[in-house]
Parts: sequence; structure tokens; C-alpha cells
Amino acid sequence: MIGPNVALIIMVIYLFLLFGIAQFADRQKRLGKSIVTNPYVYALSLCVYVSAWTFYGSIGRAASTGLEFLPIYLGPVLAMTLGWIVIRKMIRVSKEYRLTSVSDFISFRYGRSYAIGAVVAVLCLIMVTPYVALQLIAISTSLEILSGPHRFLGYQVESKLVVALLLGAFAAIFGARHLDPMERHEGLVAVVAFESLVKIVAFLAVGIYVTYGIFAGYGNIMDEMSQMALVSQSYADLLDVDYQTWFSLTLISFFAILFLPRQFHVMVVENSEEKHLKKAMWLFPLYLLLINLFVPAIAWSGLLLKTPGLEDAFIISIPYNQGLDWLALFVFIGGTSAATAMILVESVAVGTMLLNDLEMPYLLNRIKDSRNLAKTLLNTRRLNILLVVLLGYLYSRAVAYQILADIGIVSFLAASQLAPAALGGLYWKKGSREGAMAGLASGFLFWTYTALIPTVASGGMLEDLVQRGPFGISLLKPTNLLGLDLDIWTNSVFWTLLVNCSLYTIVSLMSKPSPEEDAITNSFVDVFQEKAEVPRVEKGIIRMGTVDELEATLARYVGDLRARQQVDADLSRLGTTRDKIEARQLLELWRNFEKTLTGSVGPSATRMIVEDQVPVKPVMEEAKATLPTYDLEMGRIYVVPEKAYEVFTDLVLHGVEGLCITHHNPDEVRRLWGFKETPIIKLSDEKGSDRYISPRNLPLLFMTIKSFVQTSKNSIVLIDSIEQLVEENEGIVPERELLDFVYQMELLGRKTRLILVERPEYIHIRLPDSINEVKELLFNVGPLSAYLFRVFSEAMLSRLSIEKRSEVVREANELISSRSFFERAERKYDNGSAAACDADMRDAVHPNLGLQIDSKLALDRHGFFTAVRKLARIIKKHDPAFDLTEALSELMRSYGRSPYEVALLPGTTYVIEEEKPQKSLELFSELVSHGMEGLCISRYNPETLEERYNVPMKTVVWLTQKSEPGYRTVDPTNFPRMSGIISDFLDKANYPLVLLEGLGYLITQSNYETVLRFVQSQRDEIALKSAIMLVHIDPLSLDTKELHRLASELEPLRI
Amino acid sequence: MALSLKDLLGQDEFWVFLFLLGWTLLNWPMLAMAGRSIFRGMPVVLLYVAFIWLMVTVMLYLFDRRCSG
Repeated sequence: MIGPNVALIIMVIYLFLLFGIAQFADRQKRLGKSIVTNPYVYALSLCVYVSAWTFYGSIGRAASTGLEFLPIYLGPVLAMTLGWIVIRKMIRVSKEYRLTSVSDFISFRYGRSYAIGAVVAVLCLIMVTPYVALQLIAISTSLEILSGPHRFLGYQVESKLVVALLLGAFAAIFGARHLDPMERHEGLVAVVAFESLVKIVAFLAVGIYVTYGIFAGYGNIMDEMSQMALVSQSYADLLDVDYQTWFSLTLISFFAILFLPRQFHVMVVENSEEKHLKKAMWLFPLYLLLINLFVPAIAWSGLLLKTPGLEDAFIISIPYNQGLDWLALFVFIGGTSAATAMILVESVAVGTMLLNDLEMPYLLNRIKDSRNLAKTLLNTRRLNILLVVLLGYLYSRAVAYQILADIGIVSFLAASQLAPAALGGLYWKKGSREGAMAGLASGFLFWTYTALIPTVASGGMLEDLVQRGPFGISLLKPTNLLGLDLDIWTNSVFWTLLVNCSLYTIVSLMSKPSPEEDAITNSFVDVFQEKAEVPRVEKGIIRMGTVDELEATLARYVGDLRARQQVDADLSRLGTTRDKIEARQLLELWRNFEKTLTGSVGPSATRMIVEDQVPVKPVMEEAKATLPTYDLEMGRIYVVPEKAYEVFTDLVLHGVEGLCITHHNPDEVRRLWGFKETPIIKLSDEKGSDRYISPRNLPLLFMTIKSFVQTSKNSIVLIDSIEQLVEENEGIVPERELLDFVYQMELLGRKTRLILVERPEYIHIRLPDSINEVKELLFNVGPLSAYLFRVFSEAMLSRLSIEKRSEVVREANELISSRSFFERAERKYDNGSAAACDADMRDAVHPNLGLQIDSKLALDRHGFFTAVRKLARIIKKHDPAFDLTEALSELMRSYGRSPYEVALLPGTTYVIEEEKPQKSLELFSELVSHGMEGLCISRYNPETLEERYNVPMKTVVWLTQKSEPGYRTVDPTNFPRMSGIISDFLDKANYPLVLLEGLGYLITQSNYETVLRFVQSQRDEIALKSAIMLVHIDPLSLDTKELHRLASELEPLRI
Repeated sequence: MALSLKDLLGQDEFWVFLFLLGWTLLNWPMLAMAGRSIFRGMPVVLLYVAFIWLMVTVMLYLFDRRCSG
């Protein structure tokens, strides 16, 4: 026997070594030389899957049931084949929303549900308890084999308690050293990777020793086994496979590799780059293959050598009984590595989810002293980690010794219960919060009944329940429900997953998700779809203070230092600083704030914090039992000059949830209009109430309205008024920030009823009624179109050298002063003070380099783009290389327009020459998706166009001689009908775009001259209606003369 | 039929197929074919499982090598 406490001392030294490795990794990270950010370390970290279960349990299982240890590894190997599809999606989603645990992942998907997060967190705690117990049992058993019972101050101390105390303290100190908004722990990953190396070297060392040192190779062991099988049935059975159990274990291990808390943590949360997954996808199965290579050899050698003690401990007792103490010690360190890595990662992962999804919402409500919040959170996490280890210890004491592998299977079965909600949530849009809750709850109830109770039942009522069934009803026996005669694990797998999946599906189909859940679902399931790029912004300095407010809020939850680091990192990523942050960047910073908080405190608590920060919540007034007088449709924007409050009050008193943004005194508004609960925000610099928002804090105002709209299904928002808001911000806030705000409000208006209280003179369209729908606010409200033109012209002029810019500005200003620059300019409202202010501002920024644009200028869309093109022509004279589309690409996209739109002149028919109409269809699709109304006459089947080019089916008229129900079709020889379709469309559309594709087919069906005449007549129609038409021509389908005649009628367009 | 290995490995459907194929090959009835047979002192079922395991790993390795772009 190795001297008393020697193994324990070596274990403590080893733990210190791990600490050193973690410190080193963290220091390297701070120095910017991460040792963890590489695919090999990532792959090794996944090998935390190989815990004491593998080290000891697999051998025990191989010795008792033969090859049935294998499916536990086959599931993960098969899971890796879906790694690039499933695991990458999990990583992408988690990174996108900064989800830091499997409970965050599931609760976020189902509308940031606190209930689901809490249930999953508690279930994970229960699920990992047997698993942690397994580790403690394994280490303490091997410790006792090596050193005998432990004594402290003359008293015998239980080995499990010693191990639990050591590992618990280690995990608590190690796993909660600081609060990290990203929950990434490089030190932890470095330690896990190192331990994976130690594990495999130790395992292979003992495997090689047993196979080639004691026996004469694998064949020799098998030969002897075959001999034994001839005389003993139990040996013969070791080569048999129970296919039922095999299948069940493969299935649950497949789910476990994805949803065990520790696997989710290392695989998803600690992943630094998606591409690392590719290497891990083959390195991890290879690692598993290597570590399992000698399992049968060691297990069966133990039997052949008649090694005394537990079968689970063969790996350590064989070398120990052979007198190789050093090898036994090394194996002990390998086993300790397997157990510590598992306990470390599992306790950190479960500790985090308990904090984020169970305790945090409670803490936020109870703890008012924000100074101590970060410290309280850290200490709570430490206690959680200790709780995980403590429960494991208690479980290990409560259950009699079982084969270790059986304990592990109980945990795997529990992890499988997360699969329907998690995988369903990732791929199935109809999966709902109620369905997930029903599936999870039922799955775990059945798991408790069919798996947990049978493994912990030892005597008393529970054992009676397991042996005879409740009330002696044998059909309800937990291990043999309905008498199907399945083995215990298959019985549990079958019933838990059947009930779980069924309820998840049926309840999901029967329930209707909230709008918030709907929005999250779409972003979750479609996470790989391309998102619009966040546009850059032009120069302009915003007022100070806002970033500090944001940082102060964050500091409450992650501490001052971390908050500062996070905000600095975000600012750096946005390419700005605290002093020079621009309007749009500030908006982006606020958007990141929610994600950062989700990473720190979980989705449920973030929801509470954001709702707390943004003080308005939808409420419903006591609804009158009459119909409302005014019927405003959802998703529309209305200008109501006179009776806006009357309309608003009418709707909120009839059950619509309202938010009133006003410059008036809220008490006065409430008194006058009689609604009680509806939130009112006053736009004012006054302090002292969360019902005041500074009119200059547009990001906060926008977030407030957005939060309100997103949390209500049936809402109305009144803004009184954009005009005052613009006046108050004039010269203080950059014009771009105002434009962004109004544009974002326009987008938000699609999800609510937005009422603007404006003077008729401030709106540039005719307002015939008391309630008027308005679209395109940027072109129709006050000076916004002038602001927009300034922003666009600046983006164009900024590409020029000072000299050229000066020349262009001079020439353009001459045209402006002679009133020949802008077409259709109107002067409809009086705003003299602001205009004076504008001139001062422009001169201050760009003396002689800025256009003299009057703020009273109002441009409609046509006039706006005409002016943009006019300026582009002047610029092109001075700089022939100037590319208008490229110069305005980002700006156009940021206001929801296609960059190509600016290059297309209304009233023009363009020809696009290309063999296949790919670019033509893509351009059409892009323009339509950015607001133009489209008509596509095409030879292609509409479904094909939608699938391949995203061309909406409703825009397509199919050139075919067959009349197919469900499609709009036109006979290719029926030119009058085609003309009629185009003419009708041009009459109805506000901003029409026509694509004519399939000229070759038209010519084949009739003749060239007829088609040419048709194109000519349509060209004229397009010119008269100020529309745009694109005609696709395949140059190979016409001879040179024909091509020339057709092309000469049209404007060439090169994409 | 000029599809390269890279094209094949780059398609999601291929991996779903491989997953299902692997699942089938590593379960009943394929496993039952080996029975208790021994080949050169080794249980055939063990060799068979190890072979499929290795093949899957090789495919994943090729995916990493060929589709690293």
C-alpha cells in the first residue's frame, strides 16, 4: 500500500498545478496571447465528456455486461456528423444572443421565459447530482485502494467527504473568480484541455501495460476469454449485445453530448471561433476511440487475473496488485483529472444557470443596494457551485454502491429530456413556450418515476413501489410500465421521450405564441440568414453622458471594472470613443447592452432589468362595453392634427394598450382625457421621475417605445409631436440621429398604430381628413427631406479632394441660388429660427465646402432622387471615377432602400444583357424587397423564381400557354393582354418597377417585329407614368442587327 | 456527375445521410451479423464497431481538410 495520505497529497499538489495552469492561461489572455483560442485546445476541452464514468465506470460495465459500454461513445460520435449543422447553429445562436447556459438557451428561445429557465435550471441541478456523486465515489474508492481509510487528528474520516471538500473548495474558488459578461473562462478551458491529455496518457499507459506487459497482446486476452467462455456462461455472455439497451444508450448519449450542462458549456459557450468546431468534429471521436481501445482488455484482464475488489476499479487495482505503485498513482491522477474536469465545468455551468435563471430575478427584486450587487452575485455563484458538490456528496451517501455506469445513465436520461424543447426550438417555428413547458415537465416527471426512483430506492416504500408498482398494480411498475418487458433503461427512454415529445408537439400546436416569442423564434430558427449590415454613420458628436449611464447600469451587475472593459470593448468594435461616439453608434451600443446583460445575468433577469430601465409596460384600461368610435388599423402611421388625444383615448378605453409621448404635463393629459393606467412619458429635461425622457435622448426614447410595442399585441402610440422634437434637437443633436430616429419610428409603426400630432403645414402631403394615413415620414414630415439630402450630399462630397469638393459645391450652390437645382421644391411651413441656426452650423463645420440647403426645403421622393442624381452629375464632371451607387450604398441600405435605386431614373426603360436572367431577377428582387412595387413578367415558373431569387410570387405573371390555377399567367402571343396587365399595374402602384424577362420566348411564339413594337409601346407607357422598367435580353438569342435595334430603344444598365 | 468530394462533403444532406447510415450500421440488425465470431483472437463485433467508428472519423477529417475554406 502506498503510504497513508500520499495519494491525497499528490492530488492536492495536482490541484495546485491546475490552478497555476489556469492563472497562466488567464494572464496570457490579458496579454493578448491566448493559449486557448485554437481548435486543438477546443477539441480537447470537449473531452470533458470523458469523466470518471469512462475511467472507472466503462471498465466496470465492460467487466459486467461486456460491450455495452460502447454505445455511450457511439452517440457522441454520430452527433459529430451533425456537428456542422446542429452544433454550429447552437453556437451561432448562443453567440448572437450571448446565451451562457443550456437553460438560457431554452428559456430565451421561448420568449425569455422565467418559468422555463427556472425549471431547466432546477432539472439540471437534479440531473448532475448523480453524476457528481459518481465522480466522488470513483475518486474516493481509488483513494482508499491506494492509501486505505483516511484519518485526521486520530479520527477516521470518510474518503468521499475529503474528496468532496477538496473538489468543492477547488471548484468554488476556481470557477467563480470573477463575473464575466461573456461567461468565457480561458483558465478553465486550459485546465480541462490539460486534464484531457493527462487522462488519455494515463489510460493508454495502463492499457498498454496490461495488454502487452501482463498478457501477450489483445489476442492473448481474447483467447483466454474464449477458453473461459467454454466453461462459464457469464464469460460467454460478455460477447453478446443486448440490442435494445444498445439502441437506447446510443440515443441518450447522442442527446447528452448536446445538452449535458458541461458539454453545452465547453462546446457552445467556450467556443471562440466556429471554425474550430470542424477540427473538433474529428479529433473528439478519435480521442474517444483511443481511450476506449483498451477498455475491454483492461476489464477482461481484471476478470482473468481474478483481481480483488470492485470491477469499476480494475484500472487502478490491476497495476497496484502487480506492484506497480507509480503506475497506479499515475492512473489515480488520470482519474482525478477526469473527475475534477467534470465537476469543475459542471458546477460552473449549473452554478451559472441557477444564478441566471432561478436566483437572479429574485435577487434583482430584493437587493436595492446596487453597490454590493456584483459582489452578491459572485458569492451566490460560489454557493451554487458548493451546492452542486454538496448534493453530489449527499447522493453518494444516500445510494448504496452501484455500478458507476448505471449512475451516469440516470443523468444522461435526464439530459435527454431537454432535447425536444431545445432541438425543436432550434428548427421548428411552431414550438411554443407552453409546449416546451409541458414536454419538459412531463419528461422529468417520468424520468423521476422510471429512472431516478429505481436507482435510489433502497428499502421502505420506494423499494416496494419499484418491486410491486403503486398499490400493487404491476402494470405501473416504474421499471416495466404497462408490462412491455423492456430493460430498465429502454423502458425509461421509451416512456420519457414518448410523453415529452408528444406533449411538446401537441401543446405547441394548440397554443399561440406572443409577439415577442414569435420574433425570437424567427431569429433563432433563421439565425443563418443574412442580416442587414449596420450602416456606418457620418461625422457628428453627440452629447456626453449617455455612455456613462449605460456603463453605470451594467456595472451594477458585473462590477465597475468589467463594465468599463465591456463598454470599452464595444466602443472599440464600433471604431469610436466615449468622447466622439456618434448617434447611430450610440444606438448600437444600447442594443448591445441587452445582449451583454443576457450574457451576465441571463435572459429572464435581463428582461426584468430592461423593463425596469424602460419604465413603460403595456396596461389595459377598463374597457367600455361599446365599440370604439375610431377604427385605426394596426401597422399604420396616422397624422391627426386636431383630435389625436380623442382618438387615442377612445382606443385605450376600448382595450387597446396605449403609450402617450407628449410635451404636455402628464397629469393634465390624464385629467383632461380620463385614462388612468395608460403610461405617459413627458419629453422634458426635468429630473426626478422615470416618466420624463429628455427630448435629446433619442436612443432612450426609441428603446422605450420599442420595448412597449414589442410587449404588446394590440397597441397604440401617440407622439406629440415630431415637430417639437425636431425643434428641440435642432443644432444640438446631429441631423443623422434625428433621421435615424424617425426612420426607426416608421419601421416600428408597422407593429403598432402610431399617431403623430402635427400641424397640417408641417406635413407635405394633402391631409383631407381629420385622420390621415401617412407613409415615408422622411419625405413627408418637416425638414427631414432637407436633412436627408444634406446627409446624402455629404456622403457624396466626402469622397472628393478639398479642391474638387470646393468646385462642385460652388457649382451646385450657384444652381441652388438660381433655383434650378431642386425640382418640385415646396415651401410649406414656417421655421425661420431653425434655418438661421442651420446656416450657422454649416458654416462652422464646412466654410465654403457645404451646400446651401434651406431647412424649409421639402422634397418628395422623386425630387429628392432627382437632386441626388443632379449632384452626382456635377461631381462626375470633376471626378469621372465617381460611382454614385457605391458612394450611397451604405446610406441607402440604412434607410431601407436598395443602392441600385438611386441609379435608376424614373420614366426609363433599361436593358440588361446577360445570357441567363440571374442578375436581372436578383436586382428586381432586391428593389422590391426594399420598397418598390414590382411586376415581373417571366418565362419562369413563379415558384422557381421565389425559391431561387426570392422574387415574391404575387409579383410574377408567368408567360405560358397553359392556364394553371394559383398562378397569374398570360399567353405569350396575347400582347394586348400583356399591355393591359402592365397598364393596370402602373395605374395602381405608387413606385412601380416592371421586369420583362423571356423576350426570346415571346419572339419564338410570335415574331421579332411584334415583340419590338410591344417593347416600344411599353417604353412610352413607362415614361409617361414615371415608372422604371427592366428588360432582360440574352444577346445570343438575337442576331447583331436585331439586338442593336432593340437595345437602341432602351438605356443600357450594367450591374 | 462531375461532383467533387468537396462538393459532396459541403452539403448538409450528406451529413444527415451519414448520420442515419452510421446509426443504422451501428445498431441491430447489422450488429447481429457478427454474433460471437472471433477473427484473429478479436471479437468481430468489436472490430466492426471500431471500423465504422474510424470511417466516420475519417469522413469528418476529410470535411475539415477539404472544406476548410
